[in-house]
Amino acid sequence: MSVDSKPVVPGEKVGVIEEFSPSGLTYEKDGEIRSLVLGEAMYDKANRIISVKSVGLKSKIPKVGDIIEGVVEAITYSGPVVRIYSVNGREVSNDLSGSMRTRDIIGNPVRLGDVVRCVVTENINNTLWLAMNSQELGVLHTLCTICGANVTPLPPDKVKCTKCGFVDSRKMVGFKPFFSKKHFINKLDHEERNRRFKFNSARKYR
Amino acid sequence: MSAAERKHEFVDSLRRRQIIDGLSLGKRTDGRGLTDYRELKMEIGAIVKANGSAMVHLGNTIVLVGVKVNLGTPFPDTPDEGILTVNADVLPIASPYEEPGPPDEDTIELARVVDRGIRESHMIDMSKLAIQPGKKVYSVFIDVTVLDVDGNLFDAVSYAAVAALMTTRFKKAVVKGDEVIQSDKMMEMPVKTIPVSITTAKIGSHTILDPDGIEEAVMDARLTTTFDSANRLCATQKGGEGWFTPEEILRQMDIARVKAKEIRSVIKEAVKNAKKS
Amino acid sequence: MTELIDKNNLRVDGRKLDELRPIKMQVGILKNADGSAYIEWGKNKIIAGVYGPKECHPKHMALPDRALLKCRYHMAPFSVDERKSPQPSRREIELSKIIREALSPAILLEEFPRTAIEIYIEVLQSDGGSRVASITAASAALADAGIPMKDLVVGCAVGKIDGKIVADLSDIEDKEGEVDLPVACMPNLNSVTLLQSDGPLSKEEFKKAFKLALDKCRYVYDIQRKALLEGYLAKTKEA
Repeated sequence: MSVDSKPVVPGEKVGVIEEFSPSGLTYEKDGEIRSLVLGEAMYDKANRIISVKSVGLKSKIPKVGDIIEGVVEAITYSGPVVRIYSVNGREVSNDLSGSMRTRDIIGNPVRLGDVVRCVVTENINNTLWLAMNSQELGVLHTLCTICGANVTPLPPDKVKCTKCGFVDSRKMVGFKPFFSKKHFINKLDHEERNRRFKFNSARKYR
Repeated sequence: MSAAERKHEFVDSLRRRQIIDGLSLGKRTDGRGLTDYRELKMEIGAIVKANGSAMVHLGNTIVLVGVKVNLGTPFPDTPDEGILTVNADVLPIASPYEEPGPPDEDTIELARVVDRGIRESHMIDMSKLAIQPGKKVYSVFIDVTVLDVDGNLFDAVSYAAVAALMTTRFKKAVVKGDEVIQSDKMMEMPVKTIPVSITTAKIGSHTILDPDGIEEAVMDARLTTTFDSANRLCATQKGGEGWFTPEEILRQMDIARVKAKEIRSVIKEAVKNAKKS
Repeated sequence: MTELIDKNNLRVDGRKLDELRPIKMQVGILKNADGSAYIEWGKNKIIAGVYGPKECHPKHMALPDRALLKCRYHMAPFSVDERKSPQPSRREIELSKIIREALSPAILLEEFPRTAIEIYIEVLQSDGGSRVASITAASAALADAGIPMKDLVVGCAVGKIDGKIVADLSDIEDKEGEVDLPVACMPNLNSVTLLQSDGPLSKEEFKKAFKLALDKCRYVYDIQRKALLEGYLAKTKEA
């Protein structure tokens, strides 16, 4: 397999569609293939494919499956909001935030100001949805809600203040994800959920 | 900081497609041809307190321009020339998307483009506006008030400003000893040429003249060109978040050049009638 | 009025009619900005920095289908002969808008819905034709930030002085001359994204000036491209 490469700037012609088919970070206009970014044009001569490899954005926008770290900025009715400062271990400055759905969390796993590690479960037009549904995800750093002192983890789902002894619920990193009846409902198949929803709403509006 | 704020009516992509489909059949939303202007009505001298004024109706767009002439000190780099200032204000009653407050970037652009059209065509003989070179000159304020927005403010304001300037009469100042005082004799604005602004818009691959509100909201790009009486190009401004090919620009200028003559005769006629009465 | 062109067809600074001032460009000069570029065009010294795509503030301005492009053109108080107030003047507000509209056709804003891309242009020293130099620097900064673009945007101003069409007006030529005609284009896509003019031009003169501007844009493009590739190679060597 032979792959040639050359550095290109955006808009630069990298080939024609008679010879190559355009692939990642290129576009085609009037039969010519042009680069979209500053980077390296890769010519895959065996498969006749042109793509451009870019250094990429300095501040990455998280994709589904990325692990992010951030600070809980608000706890709203629809769940905690996390201001992201790192994506896959690389610091970002794009100031994006994501939310956790209430259906993905049980009890009070985080509090305001906690530093958390989450996975991105959905990215709908850069509206990010996060979850902490595995052992290596959760709160990285937290303080006592009452007195602000350090806390010690109290598995499986609590932390205890070293100063005032207040016990609070948290999903720390290393804790197993919580399970509850609510979580069980989430796992039900669609039909069952619809049936229950109808039943509930019928009762409500009667 | 400049950002694309929504200032026009809400248009979805369906509306845009509908308009483009109409244009490819040579039809516009209000039944005009592609290079037709909306009805241009001019009411000159409506504000008697101003030295000159004109209200222009271009379709549903209504603008009112008043000219005031004061005495002022010249700028140090042009000691023997008068001062020309254009100020625009789009009133909150003019559009649901307008709010009270300092002028935003669109309004500033409007004022500056109209200013450029008048200044760079050398419409007013600025040297005749000097009274005592370096000390006292006439200072001409053109204040634009937009009353109703339905597209193509650039042209409507330009026509109104030009018509108002052509009918401006102000008290002649005389030098008496060391002082400059206003006499009772009236003086007319020294007008050399009549600049006419023509705005073309590009929607898809179509070129239209005088875009109205909805067309302005769906357009790709706009080109405002101003021509003087000798049909020379005096000012240009490209606007909108799109682009033109060089050929499109040359073609649009040819269309605009012809149209400018037509509009100029309308302005001349209106000014003549106003001066008669 | 001073004579701007002598009998040998040379201008006040010794340039030929269609000669540009020396241009130097460098990209990636700022550490914090996602992309940056510096341009020296004659006596113009301009820095452009790009942040983004990032969270849009205020949030209600975010667009559901594309990124919001924000642009600020700002002149340092000491950049001109007389001190300029640091508050944005009307000229700066208009140029911010014009520059944003010149750059936005090139950027693939649809790739980053609900975010904002911010362009900051700081004119440290101004010497005629600063808007086209700003556009050239800003589009290089955008490319340096890794933002997908259909093409680079380059600008060049032409004008008419002493009745002759010349390229790239300097400060004095801009003030004393008759016409200034800044043009910005995407050279590979044959599209003009900025066009302004002030001063009387006949039909033929405009055609000639416009063509000269597009030719000179091509020349500026080569300089810009070289600077970008140099910046890219330096960046990859580091990594």
